[in-house]
Amino acid sequence: MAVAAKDLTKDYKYGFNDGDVFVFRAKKGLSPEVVADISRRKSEPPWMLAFRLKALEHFYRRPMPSWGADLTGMDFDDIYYYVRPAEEQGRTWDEVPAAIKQTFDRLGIPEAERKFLAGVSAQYESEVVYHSIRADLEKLGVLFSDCDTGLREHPEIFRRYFGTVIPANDNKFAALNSAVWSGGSFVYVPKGVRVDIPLQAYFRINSESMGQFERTLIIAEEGSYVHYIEGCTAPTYSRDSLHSAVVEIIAQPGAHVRYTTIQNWSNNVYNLVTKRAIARERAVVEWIDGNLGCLATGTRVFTDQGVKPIEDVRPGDAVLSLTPEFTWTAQPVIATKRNEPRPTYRMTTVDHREVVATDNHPFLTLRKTGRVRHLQWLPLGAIRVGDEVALSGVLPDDGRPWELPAAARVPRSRNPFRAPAVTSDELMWFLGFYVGDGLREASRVILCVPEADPAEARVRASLASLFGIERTTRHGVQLRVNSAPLSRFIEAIGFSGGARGKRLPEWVYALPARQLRAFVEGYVAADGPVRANHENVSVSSVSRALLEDVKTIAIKAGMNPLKISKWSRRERKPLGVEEKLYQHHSLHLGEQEPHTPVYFSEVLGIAEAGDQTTYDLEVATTANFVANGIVVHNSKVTMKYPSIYLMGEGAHGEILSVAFAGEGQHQDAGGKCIHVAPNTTSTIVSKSVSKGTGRTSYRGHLKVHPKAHGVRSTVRCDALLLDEQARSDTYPYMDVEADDVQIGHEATVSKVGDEQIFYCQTRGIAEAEATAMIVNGFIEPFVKELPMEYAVELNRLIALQMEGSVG
Amino acid sequence: MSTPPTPAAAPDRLEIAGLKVEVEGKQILCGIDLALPPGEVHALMGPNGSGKSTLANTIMGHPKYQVTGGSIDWRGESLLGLTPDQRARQGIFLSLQYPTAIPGVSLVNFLRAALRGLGREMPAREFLGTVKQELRTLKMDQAFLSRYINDNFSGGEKKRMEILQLAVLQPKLAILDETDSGLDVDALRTVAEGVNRVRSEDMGVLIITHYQRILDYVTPDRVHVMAAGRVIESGGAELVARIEREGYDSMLRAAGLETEPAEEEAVAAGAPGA
Ligand SMILES: Nc1ncnc2c1ncn2[C@@H]1O[C@H](COP(=O)(O)OP(=O)(O)OP(=O)(O)O)[C@@H](O)[C@H]1O
Ligand SMILES: [Mg+2]
Repeated sequence: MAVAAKDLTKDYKYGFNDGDVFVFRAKKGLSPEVVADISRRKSEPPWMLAFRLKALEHFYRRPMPSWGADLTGMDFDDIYYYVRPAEEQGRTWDEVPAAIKQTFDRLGIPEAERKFLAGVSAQYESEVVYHSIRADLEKLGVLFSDCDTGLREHPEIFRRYFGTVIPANDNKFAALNSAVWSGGSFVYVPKGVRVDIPLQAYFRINSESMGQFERTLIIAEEGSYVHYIEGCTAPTYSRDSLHSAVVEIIAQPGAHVRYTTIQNWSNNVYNLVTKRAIARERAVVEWIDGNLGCLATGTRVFTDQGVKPIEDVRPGDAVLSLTPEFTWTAQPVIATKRNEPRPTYRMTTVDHREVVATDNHPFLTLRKTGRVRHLQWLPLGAIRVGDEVALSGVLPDDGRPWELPAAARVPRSRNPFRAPAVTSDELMWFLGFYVGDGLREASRVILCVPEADPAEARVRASLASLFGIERTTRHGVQLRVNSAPLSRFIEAIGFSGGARGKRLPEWVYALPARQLRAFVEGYVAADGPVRANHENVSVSSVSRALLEDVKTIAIKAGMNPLKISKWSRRERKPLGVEEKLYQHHSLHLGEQEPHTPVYFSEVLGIAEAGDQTTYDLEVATTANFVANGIVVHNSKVTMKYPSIYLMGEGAHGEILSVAFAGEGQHQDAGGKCIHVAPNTTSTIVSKSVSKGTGRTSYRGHLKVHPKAHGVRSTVRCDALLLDEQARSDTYPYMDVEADDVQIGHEATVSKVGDEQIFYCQTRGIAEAEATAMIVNGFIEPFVKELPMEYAVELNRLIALQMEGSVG
Repeated sequence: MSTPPTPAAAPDRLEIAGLKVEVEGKQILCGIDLALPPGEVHALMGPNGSGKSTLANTIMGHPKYQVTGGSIDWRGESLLGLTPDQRARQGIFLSLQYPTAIPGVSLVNFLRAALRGLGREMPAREFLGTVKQELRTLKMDQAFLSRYINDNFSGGEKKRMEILQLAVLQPKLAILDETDSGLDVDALRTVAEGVNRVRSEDMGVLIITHYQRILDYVTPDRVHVMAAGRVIESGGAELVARIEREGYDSMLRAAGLETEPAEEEAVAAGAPGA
């Protein structure tokens, strides 16, 4: 199973990047000049330029949507709004440039054509470079081209419908798309024509930081039929990319339009699509939507219960998160996600904080351009040395003293010994000192502190006040405490390791800041005399892991730990011939401590850190958390609720959406039907599959206008849960203003039944395969509608989602 | 591992000894002894609730049934500890009393997955030919090829579907749990013919049934009667006629079991005598 899973991930066949292939690329960023430039290069008519510029104004004016996902990670000025990969649009395969061909070869497009598909229109960057349409469709008068060609060659039809379903001022992203749109599909089906084979287009996001703003316009004249399929993939390691499409569908009286989407985005693609259809009298519109849906292991996440490795964070845990006002708040984790090993990078700041993350993981960054400094969320791949990233400064002190386990306090010796019941500053100072320079034997504890050391008196005072131990002996630099109970006590509370194996026990991380500070001070007192000409103190150990632990608690306590450095020396043992290499690490502590909740530190370096298993958290509301003392952002979001406006009497709308939520994922799907005309009908069906900690949510919105009598609608949500833990929620929202309306709402939740699995097993089908087969069966009504190669792709994705579900 | 063992070295013999089974803490089988030599057809009869399905499911390895004592050996090796699909791969087949529907999974896809699981994939053309032929033999419409398995099937259709799968998967031991119930006369004959056909191919069969009807077509080598989790009587084919004539009363009395169903359960549960 493990082997198979690995192969599947390696096989993410769209995860390649061809290097940028383009003939022309507009300036990065958004301005009226860039928009005018795009329009000029496309030789557009003046009305389109006017439309674009007006849309740009709307875009500037509209606020960011406050609903749904957090989009603060987006920087509109860091995106190329127009990239044209080749001078001419190829019509036959031979004319397509070789590099682009290679991409298509790998995407399987030529095969798709051989499979007698009606038209293949593949979007590479912003232009459709390859496009073919079957001769018989052309004869029927069906137009299928990219949107730019549609505008050029059929200006009257284009102008009549363009922007009528989704006006430029509909929402911020529709406005953005209207200003800079490029490519996409234009489909026109004349009266009475049935297009029997699905028309399909592949979309890809290839260039880094390159938004795709395709525009799709589908017009189905009276009594016609067409099925359009959109499939999406993005290279797995593309940087933050923005996909903001607009899809407009006009179904004239009696027409039937079906629109299918399959999403296979990498999780770093912003996908903000506005999709809307208008259905006239007796027309039928169907939306079919399939949604398939990072930091390295060991990264320490700051929660309100102390500090945890990221792999141990669970949904429901509260983590420290930064508010827009730069204060700290505890926010619940909604979902966690584990990713298969991917290339990672280690980012180090001047203040010596470091984190290992994938190149798409966003950090709160301060970048200087000229004399202006921009605050923005930037993916690691976009961060440059010299940029400043946000670090945690003074954190809320949510720690509590720890109650020491009773067993540790029971004296089993005649020597006088008592132990404190809870941790205190004094105890932590002592333990810090012990970790810095102590060692433990069965019946005694030895602390290395010369008689002349200023700390000596405090050590002895601590022994007396904490444990009632007055008697110690001295052997050179060693202060010996002959007390078996003290030795057992230290062991019982988790400080047992030898010099190399010493680590801080888990409970330390949840202590109040003062106690953490006392611990570090104790360590410094044992180990870190202030050296001449050095303003920083340092502590050292042979164990780097221990120093990382100390660094973490120092950050938690609002101190300023700096770098951990390494030095080694060769030493010959007095009696042996053997020469040994001794390695030491030191943690330097800065004098300057932060006094604000957040501060910024320059990026010193970003280096490859190999392929590693990574994790991601989705944090509610504020969508960020603190990892290794650095402020990081959630992973990306997808929002796309297609809608249908039923405008003519007798029109019918149908929305089918399918969502998978694998381990730790949260999938949001939904649809909207607005009944404006009387006697209109609609069906909204959602099918969701959740596994493990996966969670699916469905938001259905049904609206019936006052004059729309005789409306009939069915809302159906089927959820399939693969185990006890999985969850599925539905949020039906109904807004009905007319009477004489029939609305059915049905929600089913089924579990993959033990009996179903057993039945399959009696026929020789193993459990894992049985589960995948049952899931496939569950979404069959959806798959049935797809052409072969999509079905195959979907099955592969299901297999990926299923991996590890059993055994 | 997947190479079929040679029958000579390990005969397809099922040997159950002292089998005790619990379901959710309740003891259902209290020491079953039963042997099924290669190629023989045995009938298993007994009143409702006597534990016949429990025995069948336990042989197949249903996780709900916990073996608390005794052994089940097949080809001289223990089946206990194998998952149901591993047992299927050893040549055991169970036709369920209540076959489960799997919406969205067609007969064709289901059977192909099964053959793949058994390591006996066939070329697509041969496979389709076989399934179509079996559908004709069972007088079932070809539309069943693409219908979802057992989904909205009538009771009799489900049973025929089990027989079809038996014919395609060709096990070495078939356990038919009331596969004859709910079948019309024609179907019953077809099923019986099916059993006779595979019988000639050296397949062991355990027919769980309440009726003489099927046994009129398939003459069993031996008949076992179960009650209250035990085999209380074993004999030749003539036992069937006796049960048809007299019912189970005399046998139950002879075994020292009460005939009142409520008390019978109390005995099965091991409660103190009423
Ligand atoms: N989960 C359970 N908990 C308690 N008792 C159970 C459970 N499952 C089955 N039983 C009991 O086990 C006994 C045997 O059931 P089983 O299905 O094996 O009988 P059967 O001989 O096949 O009956 P029939 O002829 O009606 O099919 C019955 O009394 C039944 O109620
Ligand atoms: Mg039964």
